[in-house]
Amino acid sequence: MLRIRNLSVKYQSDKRYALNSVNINAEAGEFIVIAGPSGSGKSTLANVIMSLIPNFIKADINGIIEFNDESIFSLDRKELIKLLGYVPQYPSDFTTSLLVEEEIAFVLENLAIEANEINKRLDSILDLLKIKHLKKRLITELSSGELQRVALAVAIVTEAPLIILDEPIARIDSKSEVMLTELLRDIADKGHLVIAFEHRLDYILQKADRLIILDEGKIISDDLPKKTVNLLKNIDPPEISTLECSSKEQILLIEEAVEKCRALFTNLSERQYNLNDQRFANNENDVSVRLDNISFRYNSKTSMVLKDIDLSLYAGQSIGLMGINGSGKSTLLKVISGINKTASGEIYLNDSRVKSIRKSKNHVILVPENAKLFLIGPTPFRDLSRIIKEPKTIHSLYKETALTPLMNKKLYHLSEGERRLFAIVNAFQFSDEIIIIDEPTIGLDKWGRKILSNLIRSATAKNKTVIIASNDPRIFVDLDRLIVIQDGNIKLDGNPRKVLYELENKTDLIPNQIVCFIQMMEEQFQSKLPHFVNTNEVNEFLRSVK
Amino acid sequence: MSFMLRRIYDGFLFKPDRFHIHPLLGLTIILLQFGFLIPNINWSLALLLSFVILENIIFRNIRGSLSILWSLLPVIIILGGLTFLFGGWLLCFRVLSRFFIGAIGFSFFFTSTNPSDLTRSLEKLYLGSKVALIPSLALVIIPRIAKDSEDTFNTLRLRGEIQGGFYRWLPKTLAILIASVIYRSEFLAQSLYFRGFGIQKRTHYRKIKMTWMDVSRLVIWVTFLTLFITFNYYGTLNFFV
Repeated sequence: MLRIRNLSVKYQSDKRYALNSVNINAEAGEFIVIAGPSGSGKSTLANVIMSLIPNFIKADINGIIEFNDESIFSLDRKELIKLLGYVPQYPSDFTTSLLVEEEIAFVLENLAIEANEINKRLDSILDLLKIKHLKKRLITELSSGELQRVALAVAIVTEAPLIILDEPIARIDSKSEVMLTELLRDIADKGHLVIAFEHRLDYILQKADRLIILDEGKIISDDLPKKTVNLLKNIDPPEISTLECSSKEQILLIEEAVEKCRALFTNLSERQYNLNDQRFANNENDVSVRLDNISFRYNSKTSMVLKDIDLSLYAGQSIGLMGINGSGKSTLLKVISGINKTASGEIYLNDSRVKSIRKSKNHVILVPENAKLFLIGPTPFRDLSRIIKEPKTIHSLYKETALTPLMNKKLYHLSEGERRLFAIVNAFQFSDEIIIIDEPTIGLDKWGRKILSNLIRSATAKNKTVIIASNDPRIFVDLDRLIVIQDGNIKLDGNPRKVLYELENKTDLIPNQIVCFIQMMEEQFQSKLPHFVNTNEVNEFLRSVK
Repeated sequence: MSFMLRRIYDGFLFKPDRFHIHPLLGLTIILLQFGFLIPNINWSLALLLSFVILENIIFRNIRGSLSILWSLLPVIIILGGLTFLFGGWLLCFRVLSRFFIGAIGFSFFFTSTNPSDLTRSLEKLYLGSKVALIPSLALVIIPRIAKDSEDTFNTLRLRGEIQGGFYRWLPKTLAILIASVIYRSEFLAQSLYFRGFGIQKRTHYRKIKMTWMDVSRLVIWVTFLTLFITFNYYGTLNFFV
């Protein structure tokens, strides 16, 4: 069906090849995941299959991309649209209408499909993706997860045989992640070829037929996910696959991990194993910001997005914010940063009542979900030089984070992940007290997440408060505190270990795979086990019993 | 600045749950309003302003209109002050009434017109799809640009880039606005490309019907025209000199 042969792509602004001799053969009904570190060429590959390169982005292309033995470059636009469905990395950038139903119908109207047929397809696609309630809603008012589903509806409504998704899971909560991967599997089973470019691989690999790994523009592996998942060790492995239960076989399913590790957990009880929770200890002496009975709504006609929030933030604390899409996470971040003015309630800064917590130039900084909006540029180096005047300091800072080779690149030549990483690194220099980051892990690989963790640790050591909102539960295990928001209220608040283990029972969310694994094990043993939250803790235990 | 952008977004965003006006009627009325802004007739401007306000009250777009007026408050104060100083209260009235009519009229047009319906209606008038899409895209993109600009402005403020006199930060903000337009336009072009826009004559998945709202709006503006013609026939009314 799809054949890519010796594909090489070089951007005109770049000396090195973004893609180098890439070969892929794919058949109808396959569900393929393409993974790789940030800047490895994933988006370039997506763009060239979509013919965005060379139609919109100038680059030199060598090689062949064929679909049913016909070159994609020779297809006219009508044929191309009937062939390809595309879910972009930022679906909000790609919308052309204001209403959900109009957005989905637009492409069908352009293909001159009869009105009756459009209405039929519209209803069935809304049913399939369980978004019927969104039909008459404004696109600008949808949460990221809802928008992701609308983008998927647009991609599959044309019944295109090839569906390409650029980081479809990055912005959605774990429960939606499981649902979406099942949905993609169903779509593939109906005879579509589904290709997803993704960083968050925890659940998507369970359902995929193949895993292709790209590194520095080359395919380093193309095989069954189970066979090649170990190659992701330094890139972005699913949590469960890094468990050292069995040295030979790779694990992708939690149930499988439980099966393989059960023997090692026999005779273990919660009391026998002492978990070091020192890093979770709250430094509650120094209240930095206190929100007292805060409510917020966007205007008097809409309902409250935040309802009676009582919250104290402490200096030197790293805080995670979790919640399903549309629960009010980003709104709370904007209230804390002083961007959103509250409808009622009071804000205290160091025990003094204030209108906004922002008291001086470098007091609080927020990196929005769309990191493009944060960097002014034109290069990351120049962006940072607006606050740090000494070039040597900037050099040493980027050297610490191994970002020196990229620091003088134009912002628009960087990949999404690289741009986000620079926005995060720079943001930590812009504030002396409170650093707030919305969805920092989008597009970040293991290396990027490690940089983020290091930055958080060094900031909290300097008594700064770091607040992170994310849909990726893996990022919270290293923080001091985790808050869960549901329907505009604080549902859970405490150390991440405690909160993650209460998540499934008390909220609409599911925790990271390691917590799910231990909980499943507890169910099997009908007894309490030590509450491990990350792979390192479990592996340390496994090594000790082996 | 941030509050201005937020209000522009609020005042110009289509409200699907509130009211729908037939796009062609909306377009005709907004053009009619513009036509009446050209002549320097004081009573006509006053009459038009009263009708625009009346219409916004009847169709309950008070919030949208006030949002826009609030967002333009600094401009209104500066413009009003300057025209009063250099031309007296009559010039001030002429300039500000035009300003109010334009702002409130556009707010009503934006909040009551479904952009996609506007495209369909213009296509029915045998306008080419590409031309028909232009006003519709404006209706989609303007509130979004206001939202993007607001987000970026807020980030700039937190970064400490917005401080001092407006002459220091305004150029930066305008640069953001232009960058936002370019950025949005680029993605919009890609999106239209992938959605197959312009490859052939489009079909329409639903018909746009006239409703009682359209009829009542029509009555309001026919009344306005009747009054205008009557006043004109019996000689210019002698108010505002």
